[in-house]
Amino acid sequence: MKSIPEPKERESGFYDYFFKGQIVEHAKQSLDAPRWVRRVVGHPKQASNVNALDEVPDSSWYTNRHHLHPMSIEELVRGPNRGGPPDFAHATITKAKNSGVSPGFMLKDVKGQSYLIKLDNVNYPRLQSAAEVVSTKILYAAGYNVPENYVATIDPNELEIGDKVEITDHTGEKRALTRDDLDEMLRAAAKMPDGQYRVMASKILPGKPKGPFPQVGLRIDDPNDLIPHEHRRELRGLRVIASWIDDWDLKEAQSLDMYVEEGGRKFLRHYLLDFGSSLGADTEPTEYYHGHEYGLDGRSILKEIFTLGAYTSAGEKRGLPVSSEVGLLGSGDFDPEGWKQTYPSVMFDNLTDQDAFWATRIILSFTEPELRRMVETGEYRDPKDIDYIVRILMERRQILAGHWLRKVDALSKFNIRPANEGIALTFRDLMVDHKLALANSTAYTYQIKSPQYKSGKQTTSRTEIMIDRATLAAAIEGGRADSPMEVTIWTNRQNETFRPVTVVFEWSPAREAPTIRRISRG
Amino acid sequence: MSALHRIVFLLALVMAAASQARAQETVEAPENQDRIVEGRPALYSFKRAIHPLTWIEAGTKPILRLGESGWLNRMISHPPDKTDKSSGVKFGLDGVGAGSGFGPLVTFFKKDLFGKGIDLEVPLLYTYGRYEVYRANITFPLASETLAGRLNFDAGTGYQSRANDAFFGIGNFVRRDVEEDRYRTVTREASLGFSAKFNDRWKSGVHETYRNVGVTDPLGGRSAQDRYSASEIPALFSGATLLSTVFSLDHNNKDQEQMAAEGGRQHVEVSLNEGIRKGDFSYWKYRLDFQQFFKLTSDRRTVIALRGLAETNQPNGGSSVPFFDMPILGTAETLRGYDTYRFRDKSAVALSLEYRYRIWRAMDWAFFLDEGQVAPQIGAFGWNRFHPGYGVRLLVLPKPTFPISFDVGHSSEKWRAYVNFNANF
Repeated sequence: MKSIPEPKERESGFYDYFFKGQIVEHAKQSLDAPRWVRRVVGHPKQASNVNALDEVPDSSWYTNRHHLHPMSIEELVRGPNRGGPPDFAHATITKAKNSGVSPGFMLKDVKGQSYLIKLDNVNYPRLQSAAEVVSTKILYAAGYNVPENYVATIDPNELEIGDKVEITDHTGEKRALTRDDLDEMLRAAAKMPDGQYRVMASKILPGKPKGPFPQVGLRIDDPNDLIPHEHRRELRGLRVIASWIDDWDLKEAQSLDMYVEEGGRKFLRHYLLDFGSSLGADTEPTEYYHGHEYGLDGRSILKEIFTLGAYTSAGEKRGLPVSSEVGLLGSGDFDPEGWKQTYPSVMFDNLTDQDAFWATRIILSFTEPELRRMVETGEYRDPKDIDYIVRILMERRQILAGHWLRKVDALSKFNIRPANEGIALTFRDLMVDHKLALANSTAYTYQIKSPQYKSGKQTTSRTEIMIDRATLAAAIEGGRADSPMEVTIWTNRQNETFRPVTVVFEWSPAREAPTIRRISRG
Repeated sequence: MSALHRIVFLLALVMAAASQARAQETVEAPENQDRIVEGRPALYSFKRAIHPLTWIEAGTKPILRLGESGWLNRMISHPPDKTDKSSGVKFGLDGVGAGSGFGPLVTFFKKDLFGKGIDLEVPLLYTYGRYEVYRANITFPLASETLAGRLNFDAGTGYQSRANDAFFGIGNFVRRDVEEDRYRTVTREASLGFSAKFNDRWKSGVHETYRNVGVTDPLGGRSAQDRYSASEIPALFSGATLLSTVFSLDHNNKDQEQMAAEGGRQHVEVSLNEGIRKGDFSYWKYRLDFQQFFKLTSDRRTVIALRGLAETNQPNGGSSVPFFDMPILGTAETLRGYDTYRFRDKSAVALSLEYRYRIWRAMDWAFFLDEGQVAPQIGAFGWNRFHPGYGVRLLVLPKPTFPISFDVGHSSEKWRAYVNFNANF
């Protein structure tokens, strides 16, 4: 990453985002002949920012966290939060927004730190604020850049209205915010019995805001932006992670590029924002169709038309909220492949099985106790709600894993080390580890190759492949001593053979230890 | 912009995109060797820039931004609550019946004038088809706690110009020419009367109406007056001045005004019309309109909708009925799939049958079958004289008071598409 000149703030409107995502980019996809050919032959365009080990390297977009470098419970609970929780006693309102779906305001606390305040709906205390805080922790641990989001309380009597704070009234005119306006705003917000308001406080991100990043294409004004966003694995894979936590509101405006200075370099850091529409929440319990259909779903409409109304789309179904604090979250009808964010995006359409496998590995890196502690940060009032959310997350995780792991070879965490009689290649079978397949009905057929050698296929039921010295010698005989060798593994489960995974490694008698150079799937 | 200017403009855009793409490809080598790629994909931005759809997107962006930042956004965020306003101006989009096109409807209104419950409304409409309607209506409450519920005295006056209505002659089997005949009517009218609202379902009215209708050359197309003689078509040359006494009765038990699933609406009208100038016109008019809805499923997603019209005009003695006051088939409401105003005569019947089902939130799809015929008198109706039309329909309700329908109808004569911004069926 290199220093870049300060880019202009990128504007993004909802209508043109909707038009672009719903019509233009989809039409482009439909007219993209090479894309169709790749689809027909089963070789969709893979993500461009994947390293030889099938991982996404750290960048201004993404940081490998829990799944590669397990975080402690304390780190998971803390998430992106670095300072202490905000103290809003005698805080000052510096901006206000009384229009739109979620009214809110900006507060400067006594330490001078600014926070964006989001209020819970008067009928649904904790619903949105809890979901946003929990999802923030999950997405942070998954590797994304997210703001510091806190559950906080404010006492309106202790708030001061700053100078020059304006609101737009119902006629569209701007005028100064008054105490009455604040009271009016708070009337629609959930109030606690002690008269205070529990809110979600989002710490203003460091740096200068430069607008949301486009979901398709590049930021031309960012020389570091070399990979089209629709081909970034972390963005494609976000669809899988979002499906897990039912974060359906993934439109462009739910992202923000910040021009930051870190380590002497100035560059854009790319954030995800606004997770209040996740884990069953919205301003009210989320509507059933979210996660099941696009906001305007042409395919569903056509299905209804051609079935003469016999087919009922998700848009017409109603769900039963679990509770006022959880909203509408379940696992019974969760379809990992059919899950849809509300606004279509090519970035998510481009998801390949490999991208999904990568995201599934991240999801599987969370244990139930870890998830429980993270969900507890939402400060739900009823422990049953916490139990419910954790249970649903675990169930959805199993459904996700059962679906996406079957699409590729579910082998992971490859390790190669010297052994007494040669070298040992070990790995984990995620299907077996997560009780989606039985170890005793799973076998691994493997073949060892080098440029001048190919072994016969052998089968083992262990997740360890021993390559003895004789095989190693045969593999390097007649070639360069450091020629790459590869082991191709086919997993067989109950008479079904999955697509192979190939591990390329370097070994020579002179080397102290073999090294994995590449992992390729499919 | 001339063709040459357009070509130069397009070339300039392509060259700009190309130079941008070249600039991207010369991004200097990354300092960080951990990078997965060394530069942007070859010609990636150039290919996106020259894609015709990108241009469409770029062209629409300013319009969409304008809509978002301006009044449209305010309308969505803060829809003005007109119901509570006692006076003001309402803006809308409407037409003046079949073939008129659409145009802005501006309605000035004042409720509870002088604190006496008097309501004044002045709707002004001008369509792109140059049809005009300017009216002023005033309603005086006479009693609000009577057996008749609310009793009003109504007065109104108006000017209407129908610039270019089609005319195919009178009769059920009139010929359809390549070029339609057309005519223009200009109507000045005034009415007085009483209306009573018995309850939420029933209302009735008795009104005396004066209409002075002039018939002239259309604002475009061939004039019907050039083809027909005065003896063939009553009032085609003379127009008519009519004094009408109209009695009407309305019943409405639709479960909801738009996209109803149950109930219906019936309108019965009986009027005596006397020509006071410009010709010998004297006739009774009997008219029945109805809509009826039957839900097929308990979730109300699937509905059978019926709409019907029956009208007859009975001349008194040897009088005649002005052609412009005869029932007409061939509109978005009657007999879709035919030319506008395709059939007219002194009597008419029409029936629409629709199978409707919900395909999205506030969006219905329908298959319809229309049948209709006109006749000089009731006894001339016959089963083998019906004209059929059929087609599909999309009903959208973006706002509770703004129903839009898109219909495509087909008949033995042609295909027709209809857009209706005030679809009440």
